[in-house]
Amino acid sequence: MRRAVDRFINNNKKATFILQLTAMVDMFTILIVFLLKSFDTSPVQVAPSQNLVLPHSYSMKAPEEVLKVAISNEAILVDDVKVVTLKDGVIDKNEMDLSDPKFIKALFDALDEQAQKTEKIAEVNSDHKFEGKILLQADKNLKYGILEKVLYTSSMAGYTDMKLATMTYE
Amino acid sequence: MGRSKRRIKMNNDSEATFELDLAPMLALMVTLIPIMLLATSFVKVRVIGTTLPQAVKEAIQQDKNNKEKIVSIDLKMNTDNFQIVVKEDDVKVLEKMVLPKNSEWDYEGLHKALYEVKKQFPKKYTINIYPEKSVPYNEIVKAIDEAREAKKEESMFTVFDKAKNNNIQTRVMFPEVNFSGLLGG
Repeated sequence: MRRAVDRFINNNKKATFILQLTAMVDMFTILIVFLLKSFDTSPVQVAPSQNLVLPHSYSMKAPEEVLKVAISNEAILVDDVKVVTLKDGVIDKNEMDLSDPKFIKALFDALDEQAQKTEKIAEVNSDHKFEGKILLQADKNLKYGILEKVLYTSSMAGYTDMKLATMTYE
Repeated sequence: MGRSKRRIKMNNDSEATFELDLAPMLALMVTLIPIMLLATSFVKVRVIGTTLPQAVKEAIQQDKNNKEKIVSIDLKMNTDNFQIVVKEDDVKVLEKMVLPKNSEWDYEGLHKALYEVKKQFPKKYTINIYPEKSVPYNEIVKAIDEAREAKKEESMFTVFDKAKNNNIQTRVMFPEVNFSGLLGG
């Protein structure tokens, strides 16, 4: 009996072992390579939101750094600053110009301010010039009626080259 | 003596294998992977536009500067159908209707109709789009997608490359889209 206990104790002492991590490191290496491949350095970042889901397109052209105008069901934002509040994708009548039903005053003011800022920079820096480019990030369910007003107001503020932001799945 | 020496050497060799300590590498990867997962976007933002070959760009510029005969291609998006109208000097020369399929917009039909128009007017690269106010933005983007390029199974279009003095083949149909009717009221 005593001998059996000794044998048990001796066996237990030898029970330490080294973890075989090679397979796990292999798996992590593959995972890191895949993640690096999917890594996107796009200048445009869209925060996922229930009210701003971009439409899907097959276009593969990467966006460039220009003024961003985002339209969700709740608001119109110029460079991430809320300028107009919407109610279920409809602009409040007070935000509109009475003489022109397509003209959004607050949006025009915000865009005009941005245009003037760019022109002032252009005066001192010849590399920087006002090109009138806009990146439009609009929710896919918005009606063209609201987009038309935004496009019209943007063109009035001098932004005539509009790029439409879309989603591409990997 | 010689045999015993050899035996000793062999024993030493067999014991020279060792286990690599992968624990620090694993620790590094466990840190790296969450960072990468946070920074990686599986859905990428792209803009509507096509990266065009130089010859096609020149052809588009030539189309814009062309003052001989003004051809305009209008795509009207109604509540459930498409209407394509081609005008030469403001005179209607072609009209095509793409009727709904299963009470939805027929994008396949639209693509075929635009492909036929492109074959008739190969030097034209711009379409004017007129969506109705109630048309969702998503549907407009789908229509623009259909107009941009010919499909792989369709034959390509020929563009003359001035720089190389030869013809090149391209799938590009109507990469330039104008939202028309904005200023017209």
